[in-house]
Amino acid sequence: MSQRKSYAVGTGLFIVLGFAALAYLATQTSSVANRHQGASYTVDAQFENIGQLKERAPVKIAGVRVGQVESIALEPGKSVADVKLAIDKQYATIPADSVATIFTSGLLGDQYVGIEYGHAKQYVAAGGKLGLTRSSQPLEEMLGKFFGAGGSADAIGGSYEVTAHFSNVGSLSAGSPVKMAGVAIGRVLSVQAEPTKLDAVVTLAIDNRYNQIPDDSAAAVFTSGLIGSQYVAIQPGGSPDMLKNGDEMILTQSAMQLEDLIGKFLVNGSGDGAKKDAGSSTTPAGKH
Amino acid sequence: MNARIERDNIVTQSLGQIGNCGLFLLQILAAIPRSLRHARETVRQLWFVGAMSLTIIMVCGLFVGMVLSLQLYHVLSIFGGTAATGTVVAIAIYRELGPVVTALLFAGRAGTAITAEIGLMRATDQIAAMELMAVDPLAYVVAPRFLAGLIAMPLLCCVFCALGIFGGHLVGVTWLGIDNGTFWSNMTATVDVWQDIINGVIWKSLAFGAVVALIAVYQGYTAPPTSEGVAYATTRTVVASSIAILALDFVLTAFLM
Amino acid sequence: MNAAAPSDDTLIRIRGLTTVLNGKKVFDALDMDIPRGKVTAIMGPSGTGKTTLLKHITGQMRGDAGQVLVDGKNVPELSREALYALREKIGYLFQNSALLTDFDVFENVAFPLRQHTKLPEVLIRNIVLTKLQAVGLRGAAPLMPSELSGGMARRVALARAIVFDPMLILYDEPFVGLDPIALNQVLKLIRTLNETLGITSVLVAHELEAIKQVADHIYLIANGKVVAQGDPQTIADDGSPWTRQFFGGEADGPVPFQYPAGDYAEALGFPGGEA
Repeated sequence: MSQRKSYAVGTGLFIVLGFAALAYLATQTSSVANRHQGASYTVDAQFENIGQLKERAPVKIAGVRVGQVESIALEPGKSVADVKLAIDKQYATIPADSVATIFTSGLLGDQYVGIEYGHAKQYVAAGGKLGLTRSSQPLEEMLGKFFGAGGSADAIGGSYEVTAHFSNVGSLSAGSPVKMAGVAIGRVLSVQAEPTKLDAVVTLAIDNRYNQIPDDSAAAVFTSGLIGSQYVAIQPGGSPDMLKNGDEMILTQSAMQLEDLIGKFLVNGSGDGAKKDAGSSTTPAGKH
Repeated sequence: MNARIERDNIVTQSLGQIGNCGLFLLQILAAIPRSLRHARETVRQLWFVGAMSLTIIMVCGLFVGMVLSLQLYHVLSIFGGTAATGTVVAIAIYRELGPVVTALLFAGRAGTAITAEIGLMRATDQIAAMELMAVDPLAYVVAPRFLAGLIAMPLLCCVFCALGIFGGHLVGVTWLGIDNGTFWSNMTATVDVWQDIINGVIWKSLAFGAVVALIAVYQGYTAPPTSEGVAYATTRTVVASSIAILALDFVLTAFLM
Repeated sequence: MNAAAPSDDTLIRIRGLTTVLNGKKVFDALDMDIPRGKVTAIMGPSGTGKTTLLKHITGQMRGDAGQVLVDGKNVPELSREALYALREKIGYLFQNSALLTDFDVFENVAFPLRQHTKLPEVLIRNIVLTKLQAVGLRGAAPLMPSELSGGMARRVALARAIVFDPMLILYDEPFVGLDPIALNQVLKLIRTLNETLGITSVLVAHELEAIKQVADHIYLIANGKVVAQGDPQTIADDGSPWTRQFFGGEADGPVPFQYPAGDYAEALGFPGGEA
C-alpha cells in the first residue's frame, strides 16, 4: 500500500510541477505579463502615422510602463489614426499638455507610445485627449533619406567611365549600383587596389543620360538599409564643368561602418534597456 | 494475431502498419471508458511515464536553452541585436524545440519502456492471464499507458520549456551579460500566449504525446512474444515515433501558425 | 451425439469441434465430455493442440465449427460481457505462472478481487491470506514474483486462480520444470482442491506417473481426435498402438519419428531413389 501511496504522491507532484511550469510560461514569459490588470482610464491621442504600433502595445512614461494601447482606429473622413490609451488609475496626474510620441524600442524592436510630461496644471481626465502628438518616425524612412534604395540603372544609352579613389570601400564589389539622389544611374565596373597609392580605385560606369554631373561632385560608399549591400552615392557639386569619360572624381568619402556605429549604440544602449527613448537612436545614424 | 502483414514490400508493409495502428487507436478509444475504472493504474503509469522522465527532460531542457542562448548571442551580436536573445530563445523553444525535443526524448525514455513492458507482458502470458481473469488488457494495460502518455507529454514539455528559458537566461544574462530587464521585457513583448504557448507548446505536445504513446503501446501489444520480437518492437518504436514526430511537426506547424 | 443441455455431471461438453490453424487441421470433429467435480487429464504428443483446446474452453480461440458448452453456455457464441462473466468462474494456471511482475505476491492474488469486487480491504486481506495459506505461501506475501522459484510461482498462480472459488480450474502443464518435491506439492494441491472444494479440474500434462496419481479420467488425443479415453488403469491396459506408443515412450509408432518429408534418397541427390 505504501508503494501505491508513493506513486500517487509522486505523480501528484509531477502534475503540479507541470502545471506550475505552464503557469510560469504563460504569465511570466508571454505578453500576459504585460497585460494591464488594474483599473485604468482611457485617453485619446491622434497620430498622423502610427507606424507599426499594435493594440496592447505598452504606454510608457519615462520608460516605465503605465498602460497599454487599447484600440487603434482610423477616423472616417480624416487622415489621422485615433489611438485609445488605457492608462493605470494610479497615474492619473498627467498634465494636459503632455506629448504622446510613438517610439521604437531599440532599432528592431516593437513600437510603443511614450508620454513626455508637459507643464500644465490641468490633468488629462478619463476620456480626455492628448492634443500634442508626434507620429511614428519610421527608421527606414530616415535611413532611406540618406541611402535610398533602388534598382540598378538600365544602361541602354551606353555609359561613360570615371574613376574614384577610396581609402576604404567596405564590401563594395563590381556590379554594385551607383546612385544619385537615391536613383541608380550606373554601376561599379571594377574595384582594384592601387599599388602605389595604397588605396582602392573604383571604376564607375555611368549611364550616358546622366552626363550633366559636375566634376567636383563627391562619391561616397554607402549601405542600403541596415544590413544591405553597399553602393556608391554621388553627391553633386557646384562646378560648371561636367564629368567626362575617363575623369577622376577627387572628392570621395569612404565606407562608413554603419553596422559598427549602430552595433556600438545598441550594445551600449542595452545596458539601461532598449525600451528607453528610441528617438535618440536615430541621432547617430542621422549624423552622416 | 491482428498484425499479420504480408511481406510484400516496404510500402504495403508500412501502410499496413499505419492502418493497423489506426484500428488499434479506435480499440483504445473504445476501451478508455472502461479504463476509467482503473484510474489508479493510470496514475501509476503517469508516475512511470511522466515523473520518471522528469530528470532527463529537465537536464536536456536546461542545456538546450543554454546552447541556444550562446549561439544566438553570437549571431545576433553581428547585427548588434543581442537584446533580442531572450525573445528568440523563447520563440524557438516554445514553437519548435520544446515540443519536438521533448517528444523525441519521451519516445526514447518512456516509449521504449512502454513497448518493452507490454511486449514482455505478452511474452510471459500476463496479458493472456488478465484476459482469463476477465480483465480487459486493453482497458487495464493499454489505455492507461496511452492516457498517461497523453497527459504527461504537455506537462513534460512545459517543464522542458521553463528549464530552457532558465538555461537561456543563465547563459545570456548571467554569463554573457545581456541586461536582465531587456532579456525579459523583449521576451514578454513578443511571446503570445495563444500563438506560442497554447498552439506551440500545448497542442503540439498533446499531439506528439498521443502519437508516441500510440506507437509505443501498439508495437508492444503486437510484438511477437519472443525476446527477439520485443527487442525489434522497441527499436521500431523509436524509429517510427521519431519519423512521426517530425512529420507531424511539419503538418501541425503549417496548420497552427 | 446431439448437443443436448449437459446433464448435471458433465461440466464441459465439446461436440464436433473443428479448428484449422495455418492450413493445418488441429481438431477434426473432436468430441469430449468433462465430468463435473472430477480431475480430468488431457494427454497427447506435443503439438496436438492440448493447450489450444484449453483456449477453446476459455474462449480465447474460436473453432471453425462445432460447440464448446461450458456449464451449458456455448462459448464461441458468447458476447464479450457474458464471456468475461463466465471467465470469472474459471481459474487458469499458466505453464509459466504469468504472475504480474509489477505487483508483489499479495497483490497478485488480490488482483482479481480488486478488479471485480469492491470488498473492504480487511476482507480482501483475509481472503488472500487464506488462499496463500492453502498453497503454503502465506509467508511469501511481500515477495516480488522475480524473487520466487518456479514451484513457488506456480503455487502463487494457483492461489490466484482459486481466489474466486471457481467451478473449474484449467491447468496448463502444471508439472513442467518442477523438481520432484515441488511436483508433489502441486500434485497434492490439485488433489486437495478437488477433494475439499469439489472444483472440477482439467489438466494438460505429459507426466504419466503424476497423472495416474491424480486423474479420475484421461483423454488421449492425437491428430485432432480422441484416440483413447478412460480411467488411468483402463488407459494403461488398453492395447491400442497409440497408448502403447505414448505410455511406453516408444520413439516410433502411430506418431512418426520422421516429420513428413519428401523422399530421403532424392533429397540427398541419389538418382535411383524411387527404385
